[in-house]
Amino acid sequence: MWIKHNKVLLGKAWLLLVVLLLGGVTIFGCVSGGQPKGWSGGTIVNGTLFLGSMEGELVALNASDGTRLWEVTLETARTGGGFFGCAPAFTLAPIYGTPVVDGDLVYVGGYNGKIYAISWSKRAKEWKYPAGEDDYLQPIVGGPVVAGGKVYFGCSDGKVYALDADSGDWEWEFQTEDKIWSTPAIDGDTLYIGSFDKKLYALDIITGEEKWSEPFETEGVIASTPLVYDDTVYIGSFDRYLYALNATDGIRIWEFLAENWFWTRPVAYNNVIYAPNLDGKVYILNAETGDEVVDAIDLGSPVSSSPVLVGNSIVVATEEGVVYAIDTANNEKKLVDLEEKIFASLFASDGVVYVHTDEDGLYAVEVQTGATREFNIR
Amino acid sequence: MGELWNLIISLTLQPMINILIVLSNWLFGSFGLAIIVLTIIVRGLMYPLTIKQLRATKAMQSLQPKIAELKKKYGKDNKDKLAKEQVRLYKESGVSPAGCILPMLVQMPVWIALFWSIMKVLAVTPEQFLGLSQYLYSWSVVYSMVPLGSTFLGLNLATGNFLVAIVVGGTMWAQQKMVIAPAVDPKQKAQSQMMLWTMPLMFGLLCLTFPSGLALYWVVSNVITIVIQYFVTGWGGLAGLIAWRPSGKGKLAGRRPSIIDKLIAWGPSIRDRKYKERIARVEEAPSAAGADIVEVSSAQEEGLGDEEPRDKQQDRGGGYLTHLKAIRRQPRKGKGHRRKRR
Repeated sequence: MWIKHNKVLLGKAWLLLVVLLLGGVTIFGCVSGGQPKGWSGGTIVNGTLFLGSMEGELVALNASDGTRLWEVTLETARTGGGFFGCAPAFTLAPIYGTPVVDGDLVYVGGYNGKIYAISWSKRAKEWKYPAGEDDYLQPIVGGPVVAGGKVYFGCSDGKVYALDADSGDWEWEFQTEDKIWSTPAIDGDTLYIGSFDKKLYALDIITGEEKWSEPFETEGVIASTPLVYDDTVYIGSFDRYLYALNATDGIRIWEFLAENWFWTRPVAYNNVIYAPNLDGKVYILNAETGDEVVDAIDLGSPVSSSPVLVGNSIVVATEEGVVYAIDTANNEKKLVDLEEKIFASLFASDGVVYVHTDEDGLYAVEVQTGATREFNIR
Repeated sequence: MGELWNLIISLTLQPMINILIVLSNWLFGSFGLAIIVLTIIVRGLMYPLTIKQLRATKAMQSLQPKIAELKKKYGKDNKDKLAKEQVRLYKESGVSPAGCILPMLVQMPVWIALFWSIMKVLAVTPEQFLGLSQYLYSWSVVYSMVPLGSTFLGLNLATGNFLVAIVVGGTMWAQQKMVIAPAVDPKQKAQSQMMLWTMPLMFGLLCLTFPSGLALYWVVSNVITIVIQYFVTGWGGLAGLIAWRPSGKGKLAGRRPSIIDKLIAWGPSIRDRKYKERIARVEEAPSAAGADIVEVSSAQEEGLGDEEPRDKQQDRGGGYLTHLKAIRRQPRKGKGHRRKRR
């Protein structure tokens, strides 16, 4: 019997090799998540919640009870397929950025390389850019921003685009040296945006020209969204530093070193900066000096979703799915453990924080009580 | 289970990811070069196991005629006897069937870790990129290098490429062709043909959808395997495709050998010389000197040494191939223990 078994094993050794290799590849691949899914945050306007679902739709819900009002599928684009579903191909348009609303139009960018303006009243697409059915930009990961009749967004082709908000006509573009995943921040007539070329740019929103004599350069990629607070720009980088820059000239005021990447936008409150990091800590810094006000709060899991200010609490969610409220005395309180991974930016309205999870679940959490309701968007 | 998983990650995947990034920094920021160098390093570390596996496979192949004889002799009527005789044959010839499989199994986690470290570092989607942050060591060079440039020799390492897929399939086919033993039995022949084509086709197709960085790893890994196999077992099944051979039996036997021809011939000549030297050393050594056990050399397994034809070999007892062991264990003399071979 023994010899028979060994003979079979020998004869099929090559088969074993294939099975083990492909098995390892498959298991590992599916664990690590090869396909883009999206992690859209949301926006609430006049009691209506707008959110990008993982089905590639812009969904409108009643913010109070979660009733689905309508949805628009962005597009099925660039069909492709890999073995085991692990190749970076997609058929839907994953949405990473938070939709923004201006008047009757909701703007949302897709990983398929198009930006859409969807009419709230018509419940249909008003325009898309690029307009051609077969024309696509590189993936759009950051969200759009609307100001002064224009919509601005960064793209993986390394460009910042400005389009007419009503028509979608091209206004200007600015080329950086690498891809952009950051959402722009606008303060007055200046747009701030980071790039994978490790630089932070300040652009004139009318002309698209650089406003600083030279962009601010860090040692790592900038994928987070800048925070502009009290004439200072706060930006985190993959070099593990959080920088405070003079908003007018881009001169560094201070820098703070953490243990991992700064992926999210920090929050400012009462001259204190709350900066979550992928090392699982929330750093609480003096906005003027960069000194730690208190020791960092260790949440035990990376924080990749941007926090939100609700009343006088900073609400933070960890990747592992736990939602915390940090009060002004810097005490953290665990609100709820959703037991689903969280990457999407948090958003809030009327004392309720909304959490979009990695399993396309949407939860409304009362910040005071921690009471949680699940809205059905799946 | 979770802790075991974390242990595997921290012992294999995490070091490889960080080494890849540091290598990229040293190699002019080229991720392609880093993949090539890391593949060579890992395959170098795995070399003893690879050699062991190849030699065991070769030894098993050399026993196939004898196994066929046994099958013919005992056939379907006496399967127990056949099994016993096969065990005896393996035992006497010093070949362990597990020797072919165990080294391969040991190497498997390392290959998979190397494969996935490349996949992780390529980090195409935002989810993959975010996940990469949890594998990085707190070295400033690592943080400042990410993400690595994905272009190498005009090739986008992050996307599939038809040409590279063909190269992967081709090198894998050559590698298979070298090791697959010529079969006489039609059933076995059909199986061999399937083996020869299935893997290259499958991996070629995979490479169309996987990032080319992985394909580059496969190409380098296949080429290394081919080189190692060449030095251990010769061209094997590829011999017929090589135009000129040292034996002078090829199609172009008459022409003057080129530099490439000489290089091709250089490997086996070095190998044969080494084996002959080893055999000569063993023969010259006095038996009382205690050279008790000598490892089976590939040359002997292949019949590359100066041995007699099998049908003229002296029967040394036992009834089966004993030539695979150059010198069998000598009876102990005195009360001393076995001395280590020097």
